Amino acid sequence: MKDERIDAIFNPKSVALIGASNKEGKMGYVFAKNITDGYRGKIYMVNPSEEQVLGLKSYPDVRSIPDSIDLAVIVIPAKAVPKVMEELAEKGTKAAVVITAGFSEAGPEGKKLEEEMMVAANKGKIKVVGPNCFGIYNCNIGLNASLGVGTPPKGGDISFVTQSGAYGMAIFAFALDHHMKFAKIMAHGNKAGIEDYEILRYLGEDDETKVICLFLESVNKGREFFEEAKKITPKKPIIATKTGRTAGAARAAASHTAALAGSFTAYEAAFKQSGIIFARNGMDLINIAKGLDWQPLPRGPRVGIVTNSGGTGVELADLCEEAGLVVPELSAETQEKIKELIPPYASARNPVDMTPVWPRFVELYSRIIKILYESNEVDIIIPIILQRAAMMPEVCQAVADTVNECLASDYKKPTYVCWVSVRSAQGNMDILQKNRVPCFDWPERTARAVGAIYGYVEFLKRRAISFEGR
Amino acid sequence: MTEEAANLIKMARDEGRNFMLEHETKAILKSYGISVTQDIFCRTPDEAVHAARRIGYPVAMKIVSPQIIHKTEYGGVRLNLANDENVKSAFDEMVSSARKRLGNFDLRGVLVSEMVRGHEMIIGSMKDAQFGQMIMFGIGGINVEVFRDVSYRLVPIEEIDALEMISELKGKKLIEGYRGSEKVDINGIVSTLIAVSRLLCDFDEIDEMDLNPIFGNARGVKVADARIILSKVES
Repeated sequence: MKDERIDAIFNPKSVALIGASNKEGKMGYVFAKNITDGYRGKIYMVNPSEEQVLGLKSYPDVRSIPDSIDLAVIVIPAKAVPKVMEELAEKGTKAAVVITAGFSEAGPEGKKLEEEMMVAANKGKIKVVGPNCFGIYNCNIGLNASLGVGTPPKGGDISFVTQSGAYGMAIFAFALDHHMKFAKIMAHGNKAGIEDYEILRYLGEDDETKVICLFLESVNKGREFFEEAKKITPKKPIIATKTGRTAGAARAAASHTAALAGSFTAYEAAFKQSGIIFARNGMDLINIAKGLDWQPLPRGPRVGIVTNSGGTGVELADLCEEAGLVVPELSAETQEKIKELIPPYASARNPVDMTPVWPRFVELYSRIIKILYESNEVDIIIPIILQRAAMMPEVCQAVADTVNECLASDYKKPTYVCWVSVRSAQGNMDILQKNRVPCFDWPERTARAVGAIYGYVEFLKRRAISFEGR
Repeated sequence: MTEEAANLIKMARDEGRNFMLEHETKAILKSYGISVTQDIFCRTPDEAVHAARRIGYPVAMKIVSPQIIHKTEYGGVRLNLANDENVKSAFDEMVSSARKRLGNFDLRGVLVSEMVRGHEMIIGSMKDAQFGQMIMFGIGGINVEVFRDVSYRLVPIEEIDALEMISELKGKKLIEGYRGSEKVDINGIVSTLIAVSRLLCDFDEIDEMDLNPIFGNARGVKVADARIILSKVES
């Protein structure tokens, strides 16, 4: 059963914006604009000194709203929040997103305010996101109740929970730039009224969420979080970064074991054991999510590389092996098929190095990808698209078409592109990514993302969890 | 939860201790099916000689006192004692060494133990504020000490977790029969890890634990030394 109050955050029938404003540059204006931009439910603006906000009637207070409220978005000063929360509780409001800062993060006075706010919220059983947060999105219903700009496209199935507001939003924006589409986003800031495991449980049960991304600084209720994650990973992947890994265990320990453990030890153990994919940083998080979202899961660790640069191919092969993948030499039979296509001095062993025969790139990438796809010697295909190849839109289009043609066949193998090129070629990367062929910048990031994805597959395999059709 | 473990922990609590003596810890482990070295608790040098003959030379000896958690720091561990003479003098030396540091102390006696051969391993536990009880495994004294080559999991663990803990250690080669060295019974390690996990789940009041060293060979694994630290009771 989905948590109704968390569902009210993402799927509200009505939204009240407390602190709505017509004044450009004010928080209340940004939110008014964002919420009215794409959300089609009922919207109630609340501001005693306005008659209308962006053309919608403005109410002097929460009490005068004639309807019930599913979600309240609060942007008024911290001091005024506890009282508003009381009024919201009286009205039977289901959830509140408190954007306002100046609570427990700001010292003892703010902590007191946060406690007062939570007493009121708990009395009315209001689920509180924040305070001191960036807000939430449900992209698929066009709801942007956040400080982020614009309403993201619909049709996404990645959900992202971030403790850090600004960085989280930057990661999100970066992902949007890469044509990734999202389902639900939550920046939960101080986490005064919501636990990580509750959100995780909600997203685990959410049919619109296929991949869960977490940007964590800390986890509250680690045990519950761990138990929840263990239930979800057999069905859908969870990827998490955890910052603050390196501070040593400063406490005095009487045992050897305790003295050896660092601050990240418990997180690391919990992640490994529950099958959470650990991302080293924000970009890693996005890359892994992209690969998981757009391509099927690899059946095995064997990588076939096709490259227009020998050096890059060797670097990538090294990095793949270091990341727990395998780059096998292709069989004589497969090599023969490839040799028919490439110049005699080129290599068909794997990495397949076409060398710079750029007038034939369109044909060669397509045909070699197909040969690798059809061979039963590799499980994963990584075309390296470097410099001149990357600058040719027709090459990128051909690779995108070939990958999707292959994926339409009976057996599924993922393809990830290792992209090495200049800024002016980014438009060509769009051709691939609009077609759900993930591109990763440079060999290191490619090997890292693919290795992490295969790590998840290994977790499933060891536990005999079927991932047919995923 | 075994009755034996519950009783022993209660006894220590009644004495106002927040740690278990070695022979108590080993009795707890044994009650969970974990194999430990054969130990005989002795009060006098003569009893020790008697015990050593029963176990068979060479033997190890360790001091037992509620005032001593880390025995080596008090000169309270002697290894490879080969005959009656060694055992007698080791007894006296250990007692006088501890007395130098502690004055008149509560000497309960000594443990005379069999010497085991095999690869050195360690199993431990600690509590994390967010995630609770965790179990740790490491292979080889140097690998643990110098390279911190250890793996952790939250308890309870299952067989697959235990196998993963072993396989993620760089030092696993040491117990897989590296360059002709003896292979260690992996099932023995797995079942020990699972039994320790069960013990930790049964007693949340175990704050920290070290089974160190554990010796492993082809026939199995045996805990040679062990300590348990209990949570402090607020008075």
